Amino acid sequence: MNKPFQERGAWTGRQLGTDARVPITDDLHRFTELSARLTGFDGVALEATGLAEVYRAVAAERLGAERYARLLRELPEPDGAMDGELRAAARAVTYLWYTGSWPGPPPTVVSPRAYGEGLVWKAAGLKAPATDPGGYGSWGEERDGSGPGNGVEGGGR
Amino acid sequence: MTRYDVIVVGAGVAGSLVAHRLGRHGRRVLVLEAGAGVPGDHEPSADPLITYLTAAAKVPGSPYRAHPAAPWPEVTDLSGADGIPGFRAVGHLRQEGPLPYASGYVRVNGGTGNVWTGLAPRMLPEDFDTESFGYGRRWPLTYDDLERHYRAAEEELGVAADADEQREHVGLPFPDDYVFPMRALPASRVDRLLAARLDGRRVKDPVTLHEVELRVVGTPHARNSVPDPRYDGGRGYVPRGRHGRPAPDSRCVGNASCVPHCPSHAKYTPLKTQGRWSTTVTLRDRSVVSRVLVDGRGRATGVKYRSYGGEVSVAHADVVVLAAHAVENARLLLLSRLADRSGQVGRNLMDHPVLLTWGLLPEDAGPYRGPGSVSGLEGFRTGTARRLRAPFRVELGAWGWAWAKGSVDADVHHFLTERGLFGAELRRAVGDRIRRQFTLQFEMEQSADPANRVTLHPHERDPLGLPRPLVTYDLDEHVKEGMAAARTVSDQIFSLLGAEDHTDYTPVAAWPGRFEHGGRTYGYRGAGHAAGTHIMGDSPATSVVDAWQRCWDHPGLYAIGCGSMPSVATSNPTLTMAALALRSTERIEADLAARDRPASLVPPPASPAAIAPSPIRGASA
Repeated sequence: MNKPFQERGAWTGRQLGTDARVPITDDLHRFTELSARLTGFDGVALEATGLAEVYRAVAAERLGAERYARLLRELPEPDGAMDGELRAAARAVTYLWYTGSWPGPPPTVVSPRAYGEGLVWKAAGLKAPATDPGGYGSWGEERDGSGPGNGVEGGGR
Repeated sequence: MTRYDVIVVGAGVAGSLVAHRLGRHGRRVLVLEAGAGVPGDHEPSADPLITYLTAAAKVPGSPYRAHPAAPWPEVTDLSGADGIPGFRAVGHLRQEGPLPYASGYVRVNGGTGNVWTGLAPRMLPEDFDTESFGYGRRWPLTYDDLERHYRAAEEELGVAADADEQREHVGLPFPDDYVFPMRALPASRVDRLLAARLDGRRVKDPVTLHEVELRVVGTPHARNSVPDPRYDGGRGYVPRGRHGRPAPDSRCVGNASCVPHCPSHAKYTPLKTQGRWSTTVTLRDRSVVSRVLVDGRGRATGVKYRSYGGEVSVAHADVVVLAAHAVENARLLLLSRLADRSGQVGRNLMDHPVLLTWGLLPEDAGPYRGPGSVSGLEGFRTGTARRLRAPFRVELGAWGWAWAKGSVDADVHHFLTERGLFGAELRRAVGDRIRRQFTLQFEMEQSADPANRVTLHPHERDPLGLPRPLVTYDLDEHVKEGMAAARTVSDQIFSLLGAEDHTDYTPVAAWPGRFEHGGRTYGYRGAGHAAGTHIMGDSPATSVVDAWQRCWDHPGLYAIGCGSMPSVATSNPTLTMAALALRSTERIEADLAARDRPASLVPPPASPAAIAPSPIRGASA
């Protein structure tokens, strides 16, 4: 489904990922779908990071056209059978989403934003250090439950 | 102008404080810093926060990019290896000892004080003389001699703590009316969970066979919290923010990145002191001092220094203060062939070797939301137990397993590659793992041993042609027994907590500091607390500096910093270093005042102490 404003891409210039008529959008859609399967975060959460297009480009570049195309074509199920090459590619893309870095050694941090949006922090209901502090004394408070945690709460047993 | 009242070498905590206090007296001070100055001066693009966020390894030096002309040792320069010795060291600081000196430092404007955690406890009165416990070296001064300067340091750094708690549960003799500038920081979630299960419980010290009662106690922090209106006789305290400017509303907001960078400027760094320097203080960065100059009678006259391009300059002053870090101060004295009548320059290198144990609490430990450690266990620091094993302070680590295992990326890697997880399973496993992580950080006192030393490398040179520092380092039985005790204490604590112990000093490559003792393997890290390399004492035959941190053999030459400390005790040493620096400043100012006085009209100054070869020890026990 196209959102109406996406059509504006036709006359507001060719910003990457905003022009609904070029194949890249379909490609991005498939990349996001793949990423959702691999990471356990849905497409909305992934798009909210603002990094889907950047990561698509990083993955395409780092994996090379052939492996990247194969990953998107086969859209592996996380619990499905994958051969070595596909599994390595899937892991690298997952690591990218979770950490903001393409795996190394040494890993390459894509950008300060990528570090801050690492899914590893969201998985734990936390914010990446030095990116979005909770305020004075927040370190002593009970978790507010806003994180996508398992409802794990402290207190004596 | 190349003539100054005072030249300070190194713009870290100690050097910045000395320059600040002397500048207040109108003294002309030149501060020479080997590292690069504030971003914007030279490289507008070098924002420490951005550099840190994009660093692959978020190590202590990661907010900064070292220039080849002023390199520094980073923890990543060390790696563990199979065999003897079980480690390799590359980079600026070379090593040839049985075990690694496991700490780094940074050479930038602000020094290692930019990247410290910000914990600021005082030493205990008994720490100043461990000879009575049968080990280590006695200080030529007492807690009482330093107390006034501790207060001044707590003001300069802006310390948040609760005097009642420090008095009752740490054993510090604060007077009834003592107030810290700011109230104690709120305990972290991990502190509260541990307190609920540990406070009042007892564990057995396997070395001394004593039972020790556990209690979670807040640590003093040089970090902005709520100002205490009772401070300074009811005048209160105004927190300082960026550049040391008054910032009444500045508070620690929980960035959880104190090491290496506090974006909110709530943590004290020397840049705050520099922001308050008088106009008589001049900072010259990218200036690598290569030699201290003395006249025919041994009196300090100035320094020789080099630009990054290798251009040599000379500056002259009546007083030269070396404040370049314990390792670099020793290196500079050795390069200058000065102050070594005792043969102790570079010797007695100490650190706080840290035994880490880590695991998972049964529930959410609330990691990565505030300072690296807010509270600790203080029951293993004192008393006759010190005879049998090194005493230690236990920091409750609130950044998951970061110090032991690296960043959370390691957890992602683990579940992806070793467990083969993807999707919802991965998300659940990673989240659960990180939420429940905590670490115990046992910081051991290591005593002065002349065999642990910094020398000049016989042939390795830095890009300016200066010999690199070479370290020989080991841990003695006293420390190893301390670690053995700590590990057994840890086992008991994990049991009381119902925590899952994940302590494991592998892979070998990740644990350069690794040894076997009594059939058990231990791994340690370095706390970054280098000390002892220009040791303080009461005789020029056995020490490098006197109780004022003056080099015995060279009037007008001071070597200040943790390098002067005869013992490192179990307190993070920055506050003590700051107190010592402020104390030395009084001595320096008295020297300069004496210089400026018409010779025959007045007697020599009686304050702060008579100029005597050996300072008189305080009368109080």
